[in-house]
Amino acid sequence: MRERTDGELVRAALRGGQEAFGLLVTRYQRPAYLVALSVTGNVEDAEDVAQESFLVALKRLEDNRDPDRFGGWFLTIVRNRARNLLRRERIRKTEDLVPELSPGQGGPGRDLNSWEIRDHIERALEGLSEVRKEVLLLHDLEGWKHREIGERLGIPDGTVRSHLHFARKYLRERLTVLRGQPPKGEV
Amino acid sequence: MSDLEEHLSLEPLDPASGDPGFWLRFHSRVMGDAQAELARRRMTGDISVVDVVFAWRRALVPMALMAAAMAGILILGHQPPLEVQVVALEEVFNQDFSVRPMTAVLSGDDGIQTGLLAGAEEGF
Repeated sequence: MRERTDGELVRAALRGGQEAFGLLVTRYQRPAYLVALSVTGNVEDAEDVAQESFLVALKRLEDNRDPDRFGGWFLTIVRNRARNLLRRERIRKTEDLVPELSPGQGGPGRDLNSWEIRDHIERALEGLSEVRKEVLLLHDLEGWKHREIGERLGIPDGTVRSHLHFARKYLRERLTVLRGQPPKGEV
Repeated sequence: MSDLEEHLSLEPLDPASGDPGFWLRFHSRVMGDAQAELARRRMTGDISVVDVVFAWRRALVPMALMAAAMAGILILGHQPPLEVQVVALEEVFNQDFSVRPMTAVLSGDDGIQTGLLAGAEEGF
């Protein structure tokens, strides 16, 4: 059976189609999470932002002038909400003098557990621009092709390839350095 | 830079890597949050033109009646009074006749003599 396009699903969701909206959620839940993670750098925040963004998108569905380009429109909502959250978090952190505690253990040279690996990757990603993080995560984790990423982020294919190349190179270098350092929060 | 360049191992960033049910729960939460909005959209979509008219019928019917009554009053108020012509029954009967009525003939006002009339009768 032919896969329903974004446009068809959006038009059905506009009339309250539960199944159609459910399919949109299935299709975009991981990309939404990854875009939010690219901005916030924090998995919990990324999850909250992605979840809220679906509801915001549903309420503003009439604003989407081209239902066939739902992906790009929706990911812009996700990005903007993640940026707003980050802005609020920065304000909050400047007011919060209590130091963050992390559950990391051990030192350089030991085996890393899954939390530590995730922490290393998150820290390595911090130095990348938002768009490079988005390209990297959507390509390497979500499996989107260059063309799909270009369409949804509104950038040319060549730029997508370039971002991906530099993001990978940077991340490899940073991860090599970080493997020799204790996790964030340890003294 | 090749398309076949090996992916970096970013799997730990995927919440489902350590929790296979993560995306199912995420989906359920989103759908739970969206129920009210989806129901609102279904209700809005189900309302037809007939429904809208019926929803307004309580106000529309009295207003239409009032408008009709007011229009009737206005029309009647501007109508010119009827001109009543008083016509004698005899005149109505004689209206299309070119001959003169018998009363006029008998009255003798126009010089016709009764004797002539009588003489004519005797000649028969």
